[in-house]
This record gives sequence, C-alpha cells and structure tokens, in this order.
Amino acid sequence: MDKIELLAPAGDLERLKVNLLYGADSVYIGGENYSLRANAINFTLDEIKEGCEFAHKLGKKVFLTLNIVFHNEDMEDVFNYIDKVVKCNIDAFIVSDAFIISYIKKNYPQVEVHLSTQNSTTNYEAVNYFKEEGVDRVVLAREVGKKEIAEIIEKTGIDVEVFIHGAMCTCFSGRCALSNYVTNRDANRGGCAQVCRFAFACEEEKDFTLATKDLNMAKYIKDLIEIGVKSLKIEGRMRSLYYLATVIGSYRRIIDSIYEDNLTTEEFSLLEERLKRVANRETSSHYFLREADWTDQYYTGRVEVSNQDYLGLVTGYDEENKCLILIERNYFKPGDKVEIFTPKGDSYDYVVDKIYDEDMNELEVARHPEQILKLKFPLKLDKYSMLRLL
Amino acid sequence: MKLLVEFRSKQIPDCNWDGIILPLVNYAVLGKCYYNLDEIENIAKKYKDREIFVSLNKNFFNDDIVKLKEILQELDKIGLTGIFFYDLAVLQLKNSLNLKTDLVWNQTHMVNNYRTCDYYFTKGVKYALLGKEITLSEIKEIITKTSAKCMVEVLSKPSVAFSKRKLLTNYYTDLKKPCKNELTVLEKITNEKYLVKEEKDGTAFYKDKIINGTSIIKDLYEVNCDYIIMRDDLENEEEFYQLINDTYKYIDGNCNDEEYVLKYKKLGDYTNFFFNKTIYKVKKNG
Repeated sequence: MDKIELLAPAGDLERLKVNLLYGADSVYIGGENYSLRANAINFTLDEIKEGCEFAHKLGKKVFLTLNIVFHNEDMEDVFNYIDKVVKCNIDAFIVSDAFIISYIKKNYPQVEVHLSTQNSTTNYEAVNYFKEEGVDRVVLAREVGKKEIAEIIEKTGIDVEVFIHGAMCTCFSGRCALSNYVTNRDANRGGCAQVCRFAFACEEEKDFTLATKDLNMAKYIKDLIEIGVKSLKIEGRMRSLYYLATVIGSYRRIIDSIYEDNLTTEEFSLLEERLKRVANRETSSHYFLREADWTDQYYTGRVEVSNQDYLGLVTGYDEENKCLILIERNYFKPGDKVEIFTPKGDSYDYVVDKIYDEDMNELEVARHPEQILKLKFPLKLDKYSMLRLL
Repeated sequence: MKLLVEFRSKQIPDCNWDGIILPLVNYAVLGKCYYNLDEIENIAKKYKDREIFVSLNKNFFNDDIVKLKEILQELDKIGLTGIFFYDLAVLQLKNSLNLKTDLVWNQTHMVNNYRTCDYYFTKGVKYALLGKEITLSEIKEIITKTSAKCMVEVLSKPSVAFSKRKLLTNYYTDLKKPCKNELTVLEKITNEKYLVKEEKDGTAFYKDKIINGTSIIKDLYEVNCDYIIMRDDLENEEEFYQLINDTYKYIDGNCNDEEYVLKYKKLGDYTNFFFNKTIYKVKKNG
C-alpha cells in the first residue's frame, strides 16, 4: 500500500525547499498568473523549473495552482502559459474551471489534473462527472465529513485529497464573493481580502462575526489513512518558514509513526503541543465528525497570537570556532532552554550559553531580528535547521 | 429577449412575464420562497404558454443523491423549460438518467467567461446564468461569443455568499439570545449594509441594495441576450409588478422607450459590477 501523501504549500522557492526537506512528499505552488493567491510572491517560470528539478531529485512532486475563476480576458494567454509550465516539468495542475480541465487533459494527457477545492465538490456524483472528464484527483470541499469522504472513495475510486491543517473559508469555496462586494477585490481571481474575518455592526450589543477557527486534523490522520485518502493537504502558501517546518515536520512524524505503529501518547502530545504553539488561532476539526457549529466559530475578535518561539534559522557552520551560524528571528538570552531541530527530524536540547555576533564579539542578549549570530555547537547541522524556545 | 422573474410569494400576480423561476423546497437555496413538486406541477399546467424554470441550486451531499435522482425524474415528467443547477451532480444525473429537461449553468459567482459557457453547452447545458460580478462589457462579449443561451440578472438584491454553517444560530448561541433568521449587518468601513439570512441548508449573504439594471437592458437587447432576470426584492410588491409589466412592454417595443429608463431611475443608481471592474493582482509572465 502506498503511503499517504503529505502535501505542503509553498509561496516561494525557499518555502518549497524547506517543505520538501522537512518531509513533505509534494508541494503546491502558485505561478505569477491564474492562482488564487495573487498577492503572494508566487513563482516565475524559471523558479517553477528550478522547484521541479529540486523536487524531482528528491523523488517528490510539484503541483501548480491554476484555480482562479476565469474571465474572458484570462483566457487570452492561458494556453500559452499552460504550455510553458508543462515544459517546466510540473507534475499536476490544480484547476477549478471545467473548460481548462478538459483543455489540459486533451492537450497534455501526461500531466495530472487535480480538481480544486474551489469547486466545492461534496458528493460522489459530482466526483463521477469530473472523473469522466479525466480528472486524476479531487480536492474535496472542506464541508465534507469522514463518512462522506469514505463513501466518495468507495463509490468513485478516484484519488481524494483533503485539507488537514490551516485556515478555513467560512463559506463554500467558490461560492463567496464577499471580498468583491465589500472591498472590490475579486475573491475568485486571487484577490480575497478575507472579509469573513471582519466584524460587522448590527442591532445587537456585540458585532456580528463569522470567522472560523483554523483546521487541525492531527488526531484523525489514522482515520484518513484507513478510509483511503490519497493526500493530506496543509493550507497556507504565505506562512513563515518556521510555521511550515514545524507543521510539516510534525505531520511527517505522525504519518510515519502511524505506518510504523510506534506513535506513543507522549510523543503525540508533544507534536500536538508544537502544532498548537505555532498556530495563531484556536483550532477545530470542523465537519470531520459532525456538522460544524458555534464551537467552531472564532468569537474572540481579532486576537491573533504572535508566536515568539522561533528564535533563529541556521544558515551555516563556522568550522574554526565550532559555531552554528544563524539569523535571529526573536529575542533570546544566555540560559534559555531551546530545541534545535533539523529537516531530517533530528532534535537537540540546548541551553544557550554565550551568544556571538558574526565577528565573534560576545553579546549580552540577542535582541535584533535578522542579525547574524553564532552559537557554540559541536555538530555541523543542515541548512534550514531551526531553533525554537522550549 | 425574454423576461424571467422570481416572485417573493406564491400568489403569482397577473402580469406580463415570459418565464418564472421556482426554487424547489429542500433542493434550492437563495430562494425568495420555495415550492413543492405539486405546486410546480400546478403552475406548469396553469401557465402552459410561459417558460417554467425550477431551481435546484444547492450543494448536494452523498445523502441527498438518491432523492435527487428521484426528484429529477419527477421534474422531467412535468415538461419544464429548464433546471438551474450549481452542483455538477445534477448534470451527471441528467446524462446518466437520459433526462430531457434542459439545464441552466448557475454556479453563482463562476459563470464568467464564454469558453466555459461553451464547454458546458457541449455537455448538454443549454443555458447559462451569468455571474453578477462581471462588467457589462464582459457580459456582452460572452453573449456574442457563446452558443449557450445567456441569462443576465438585472434587478435584485444580489446574493453575495453562501455558507453551510448556521451562522445566525452560532452567533446567537454565543450571545446567549434567541436566534433570529435574518439580520442586517453594517460593514463599518464602506458603511454598506448586508442581509444575513439563515436557511435550512446554511446561511446566505445579500447586499442590502437593489441592483438597478434597467438602464442596461437596451445594451443586452442589442447583443441578442436571450433572457433578463428580475427578482422580487423591491420594498413594494405592487411596484415590482408594475416594473415587470413596464419591462415586458419595453422589450416588446425593442427597448426604444426612453421614458422607461427615466421612470426607473427612481430605483437607484446602484449598478453592481456592470461598470465597475473588480481588482486583483495578476502580473503578466514574460
């Protein structure tokens, strides 16, 4: 049996690499055109090519989102763009438009097409429609529960991908133009202003809000494996490197240990706590086991916690002084207990002793994010290792 | 060009319209009122000379599918002009059950280009209700380039979003107050009002402003638009019936009566996205 895929979001080339190094099997990216994150940095064609080469060398895959809702004018260049992206050796397109799906399958049968969640696919007959159109994989709507996912897999035999972690839309994906009406930014062409996180005045004493908690399915990965889901998707192409490393690393460990049957309660609690600490909002499993209700809403206002755990990103090793070279991300000081973790999954408990600047001048504390620092450490660690506060 | 209407009450008025939209109870959302199968059958019998469209525009889940098949087969016997659908399950079932009733592609905010309209047309979907978030210029281009018969909504309080969540129930549960099914909310920066309505299948959002597209009907007529749609969202029902009669007459007179346009300026100057293009950031790739 193939191991379930862990699919990660990559807003740029560095995130793509970090995701893959920390254990993602595949990444999804946006190009400069036709992606629903028009305001992310997004990938140029050269970067798509480089990203594909990097992934393929590791035996991993890259999917490109092409999931806007197309207007007439968007159709003018899209065929040319698809052709260029195919030549970058992309593994799959994530698409919502039925015409674009049929176009790709007709002209590039070697490339997979995944039906975007933007289509809000919620039942097996709709899946059958797209399967007959040649779609290789369906990203189901986030409103679909465990029983329904299992039934769709059983009745259609199609590869199914589900979201397991990250922010949620309040409305059916694709069935929301709040951003268009409130901010004039087109939600379905990559301009979503996340109006579902706004507070609206009304006749009641408290503002009307509709924001939802984030999704966290860590507890249910085993269920998803057992019902035959093909791919587990993390949301958030605009998230930080630390967030991605933590989330991908944690889910990598959960998935692997389920297959190896060695996930202890203690380790799961630790991983769950890490996921909780890196999140900036409360989480829930939403529709997975029941209808979502008021407990899945976020009624505490826009209090989004800024996480200070991420202390630094390892960029190299000073052999002469036996020091890790890192870029500071948050304040820390001698005596702090930290964990240094690597893309390969190694972890080292470490107590900060002396902190040096890049010229080996000793500092009292690390108080300037982005400053290059050095810490005595006996081992050379991989690039993209990170330090987090314990 | 035909005039298609949706009324807010089941007492269908004696006025001039070419076709009517009837949302089917339990199978449609965003309806002004909902009709059961018997009621639809009776209306179809009573108005044999008019076009009868039924709306089945909700997102269906696995548990809905068996009954959806049955209802589609029942509807097929009535001789409807068409069925509005959002969920592709409806198209899949039409094809697998060999149903003869035509379909209207009604994926609310997604019907935005002529190529995809044509794609669905080749799949047996005869009509397309165009999205409300595109410009008049885009609408005209679609109408002239697609083979599908196009419908354009020119009068309504526009539906803005739909959620499966019971957002008013949730809000009032948090407030610890009895739930209301409808709430007007104010977006604080733009000072614009929205209507939040909770239905059996979720929560709908509408802009609390009438799109007045009476001034663009002539443009649509001139590019051979097949249908315009007016929904009964005016404060006064009688005023809506008068508008329907006047619009019918206006179209019948080849949209040459300038008095009509002047008269209905009173409905306001909100023209939604007809002349206002939304923004987003898509850079050209070199």
